[in-house]
Amino acid sequence: MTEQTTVQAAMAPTAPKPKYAHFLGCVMPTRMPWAESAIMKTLPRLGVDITYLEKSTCCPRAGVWISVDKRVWLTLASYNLLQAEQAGRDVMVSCNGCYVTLYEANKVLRESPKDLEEVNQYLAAAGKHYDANVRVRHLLEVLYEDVGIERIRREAKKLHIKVAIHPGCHMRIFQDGHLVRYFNELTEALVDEVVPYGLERMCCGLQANLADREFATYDRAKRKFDAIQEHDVDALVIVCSGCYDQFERTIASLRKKDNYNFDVPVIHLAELLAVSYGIKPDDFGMRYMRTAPVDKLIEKLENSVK
Amino acid sequence: MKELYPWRRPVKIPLPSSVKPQLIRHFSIGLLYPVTEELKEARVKAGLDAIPPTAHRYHEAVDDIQKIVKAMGIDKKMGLDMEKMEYKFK
Repeated sequence: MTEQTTVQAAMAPTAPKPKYAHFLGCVMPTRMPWAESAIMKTLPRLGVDITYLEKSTCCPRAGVWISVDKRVWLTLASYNLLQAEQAGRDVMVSCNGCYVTLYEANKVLRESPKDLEEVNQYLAAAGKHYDANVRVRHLLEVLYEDVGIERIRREAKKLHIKVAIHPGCHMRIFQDGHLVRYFNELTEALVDEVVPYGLERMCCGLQANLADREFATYDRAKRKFDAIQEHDVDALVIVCSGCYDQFERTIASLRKKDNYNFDVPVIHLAELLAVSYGIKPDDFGMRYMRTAPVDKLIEKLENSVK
Repeated sequence: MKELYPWRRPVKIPLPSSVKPQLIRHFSIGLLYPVTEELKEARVKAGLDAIPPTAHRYHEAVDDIQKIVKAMGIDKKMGLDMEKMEYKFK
């Protein structure tokens, strides 16, 4: 149990129920409507008070701005965080990349009054102000800690499928590795089997794309696809929109260029959770905008909850 | 410093070509990807509003980002003309 979990557990009887604003980022609302819908429809069923973090802009990309200009990273991240602060909510993020950008920026601003003051000088140009009074939480933390892994294990209907998982590099932000553990345990709670393929830790290649697209495609994403296709799995489960973006682009490019077909559907953990809690795949648009046909997968999922 | 290092000059480091269009999208629509007709259809089929409640719907967020970027002076540092959304240095 992490220190944060212990504190929350101790506060549970008296602490007010957390309210969250869902930060969508760039990829989820434009490439993964099924994930956005599954999250927004399922979390209220689990007792999570969730609304959208409205007026959001790019997080911005930590891999670019932290190394180029710290002020830009902190100020543009604050612009997103202050929307939640004004609404009196904490921030919830599913994309690991957006999470790192916003979590780290918030940590710097809460610990450094000097940085916060400088950020507010720039935000004033748009008539905005940020007090750094919100928490940034990952979807996995909300599910595992707030809803509770035991409750999910107890209530969720087991889905009779076998899956591979891709956690993503930024899920390893914390030394205790709790996000990766949460991802593993939550997936295991929902499906028959999580099949190891040996390259779970390998990067999707997203950041390498900025420097060398060939390397990112063939030495990263495709190596994962090759390893996964050697096993009999029904889906590849992710939570990170950045990794999804890279997989979607690479799958399309390999199909066009090399006639290489990765026919394992890439899906979001929230889709499994939604079906497991009684939401029909067609109610969250599971059939559309996919990297591979999902009809067989949907049939298996629907048979599991009949 | 100039007395010590008379030949030292500020240098313009070129932005990677893969980053340039991303920054233009970030500063002109607020996010990296636009909303297409195919997306609107898929979002409605997913039970969502056709336009997401991000800067795609709230254009004032884009105006705010542009004001902040100009206040920081990074547009000039990058050689980005924010009115034309064009880079000065190709």
